[in-house]
Amino acid sequence: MSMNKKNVNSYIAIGIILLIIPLILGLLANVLSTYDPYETDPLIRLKSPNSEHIMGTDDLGRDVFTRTLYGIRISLYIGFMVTFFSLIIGVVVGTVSAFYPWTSRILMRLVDGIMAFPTIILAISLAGILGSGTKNIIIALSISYFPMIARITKNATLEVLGMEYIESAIALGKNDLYIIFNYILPNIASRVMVQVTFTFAMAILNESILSFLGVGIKVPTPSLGGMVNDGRNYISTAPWIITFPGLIISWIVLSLNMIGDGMRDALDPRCKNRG
Amino acid sequence: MCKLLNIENLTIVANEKNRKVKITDNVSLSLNSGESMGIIGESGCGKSITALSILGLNNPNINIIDGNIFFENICLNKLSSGNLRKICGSKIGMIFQEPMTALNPVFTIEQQLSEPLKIHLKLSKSAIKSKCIELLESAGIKNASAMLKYYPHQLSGGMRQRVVIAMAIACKPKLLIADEPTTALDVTIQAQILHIIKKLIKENNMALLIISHDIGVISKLSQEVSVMYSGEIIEQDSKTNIIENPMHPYSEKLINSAKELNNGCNHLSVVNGSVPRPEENIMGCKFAARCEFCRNICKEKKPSLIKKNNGNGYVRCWKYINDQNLY
Amino acid sequence: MLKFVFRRIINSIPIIILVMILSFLIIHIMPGDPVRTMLGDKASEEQIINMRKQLNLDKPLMKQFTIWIKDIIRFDFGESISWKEPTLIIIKERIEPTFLLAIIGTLLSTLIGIPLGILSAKQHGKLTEKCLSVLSLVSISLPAFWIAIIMIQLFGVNIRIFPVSGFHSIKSVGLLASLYELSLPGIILGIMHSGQIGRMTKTSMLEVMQQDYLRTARAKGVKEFYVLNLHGLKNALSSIVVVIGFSFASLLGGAIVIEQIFNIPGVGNLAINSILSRDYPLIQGILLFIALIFILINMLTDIICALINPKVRYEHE
Repeated sequence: MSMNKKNVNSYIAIGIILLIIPLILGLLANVLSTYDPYETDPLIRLKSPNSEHIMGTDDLGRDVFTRTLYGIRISLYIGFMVTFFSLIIGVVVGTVSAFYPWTSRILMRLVDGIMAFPTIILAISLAGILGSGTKNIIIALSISYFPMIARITKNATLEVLGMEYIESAIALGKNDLYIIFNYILPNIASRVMVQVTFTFAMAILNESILSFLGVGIKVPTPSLGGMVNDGRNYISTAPWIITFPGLIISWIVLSLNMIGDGMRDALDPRCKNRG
Repeated sequence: MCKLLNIENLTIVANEKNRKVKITDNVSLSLNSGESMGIIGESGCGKSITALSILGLNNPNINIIDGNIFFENICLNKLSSGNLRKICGSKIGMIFQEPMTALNPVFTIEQQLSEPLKIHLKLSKSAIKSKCIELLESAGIKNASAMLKYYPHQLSGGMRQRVVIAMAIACKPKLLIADEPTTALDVTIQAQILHIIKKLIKENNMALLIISHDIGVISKLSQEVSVMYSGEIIEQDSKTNIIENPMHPYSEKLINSAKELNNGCNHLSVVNGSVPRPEENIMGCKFAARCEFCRNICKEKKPSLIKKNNGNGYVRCWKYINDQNLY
Repeated sequence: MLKFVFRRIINSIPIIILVMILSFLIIHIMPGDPVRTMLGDKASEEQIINMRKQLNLDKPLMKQFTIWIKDIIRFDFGESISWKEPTLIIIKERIEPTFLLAIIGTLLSTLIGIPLGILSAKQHGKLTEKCLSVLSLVSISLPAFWIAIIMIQLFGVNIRIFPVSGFHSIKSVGLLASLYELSLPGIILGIMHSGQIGRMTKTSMLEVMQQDYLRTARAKGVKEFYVLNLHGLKNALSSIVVVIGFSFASLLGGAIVIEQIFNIPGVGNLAINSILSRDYPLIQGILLFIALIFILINMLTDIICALINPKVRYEHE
């Protein structure tokens, strides 16, 4: 078990360390690079990485490093917003339908219905129908991801509701909101957080897919997925355009998945006491 | 004559959190063919681990660090796992404590029961089926042929234990190991299961090693009894001697409390305290802390297992060591 | 067993109705007038009125809904505007490559995922397991489109061992040639989906390996190989099948990105094209179709689980 604990913690630790790097890059985009991500310059088209442009330039002569930094920033922003909205909606829907079973008939049915669609197809269709743009991607992805959180919240809440200390709190006449905030939420928080971490990872991955397919962030706004799409045609002559954004997406998603995995293993009682 | 089973100075250690915890210490047992031996002791005294180590069935973090287990002069603990498996089920059968979890939930009774027949006896398909029915019937199952198609979850605990017994004796092993075979069952079923085990070892002339915390179970099935306490054998003798004249203070307490329970006494003699944890490092006798005859020597030095004056038994207690130098 | 199947079918009726409602509503949540967006700024008033009539958008919402449901029951999933053909016929033409790709991908990911999952359960705590667990994490973290583009460059352009674009039906070029065209995308999907299957295999095998019945099997003299791969795996299989089914269903729904990059005329490709060309009735029809496939595969998965693990079917009866 001690072995296991160590592993689990190292997963979370490595994940967090890995995540800090793109976080800094994204937040300090305007400090770290003096170039304008939109400024085109036909004279320096498709330049390979050099001292002035450390990740080279793209087909319009824009600095790939700068665009990658702003791409990270918008990816993290969208990922964060999607996670935030999914969390809020999911937890409200989940706790309410666990607490008041009659609402579950409507709310959880809606959740089941949304989950009957593959998330990526749903997200693409919603983004396509709503139209591209940051706000619409956030709406589309939040609609796609809140059901999973709602389902997990509901199951976890039902489990907690069965515990004796809750029954005694109900018997004491505490009101529902008091019980939700003081008993339910603290007890389900860790389980929900695991899913939240995975949601963050998937939101970033799927935002890049939307942008790659052209239903996500509008050009010429820099986005990691969009940059990969731009660089497709120049892969043999200018592989740097596609390499760096792709690596960064993998990097961010991997570090989030590592944190999620580590948290899940730390929580899962089955993983402990293993010989 | 060579012994069927001979366990010599078996010391087993569990690797936990970067340290080693001794589970059994210098345990020796031997059993002739056709004989029966019971190991009795409180839970956690290492009796089950000893039994499981015979077939190498302990978890990988539990290892034999000293001593040997001989079965028909073959050293089992030195065999490769492949060769050991050839003995498992064919020459040594085993019955487990928990019939609810001992059977595989996704295979039918027939599939599970026919496995040892297929592996060791290499019978034909039709022979296997009739043999399965025969085995189930000998384990006291009435509608055996219907039972073959059932899955474990469709059977009661008692029925499952009968299936486990039928599986253990499928290849007519020379030695049957029963690890708490009735602990998880209802009292009414317990007697039936014991009766079946007794009948089967007699019919097939099997030796029996039975592990239990219940002296009643042990006394019904075995001729010889070993009393284990905290990983050590503290007394070993024939059943009658142990029951009628237990010498070790712990055996005495154990037997008396069982007798009193049976007689419905109002005053139950209680063994105060509990078994020391395996990780506690005790210099002297392991029972000293709970013993009413405890003297200084008991806390300082470990008594060795000595032969009893009367008869063939052994006991591990300072009370019976008459070495004047020690006092 | 039949009872279980019947019950499972009945149970999925509400969700099917729900999916019909949701795919109906999706066109009504869009901001502005869908007809104007579809036809563009240059459309005349007359065109707009005609289109609205054609799509029944001039009728009240409830009326529209009943028409939608009635049509679906008659297997009419609407008509595409850009293709001027019924949705189901368009999908039918596109299903072959998607189906083949889904089979290749699922088969490969199962063949890679299950053995590696068992291996990492066996090697739990050792270096092999740690490497495999990092690898599986990487496989679920990589963006498919990026990997696919790099693979095309590597194996299609630099080394030239795989075809990198397009698909011809089995009828026109034969099964082997069709499969060959799908080999690189199939391998990519197989490897990417194997991570998920491997992780589930490892988790459930680790749980199963704790169980008493494996000890019983060993005590019977069953060889270690069969203890794990027969007694152990059959118990772990029902949760693995769920993941395999999920992966197959999502591939059938169209490996959108892969189909797009490899220029495979499949369902996923159709879906993205219908979205880009704002062909709303087609989007609606495809969404409904994919959701129904999803529900169907889910149902089949449950039935397979019940076949593997008798406990599942008795719990429901």
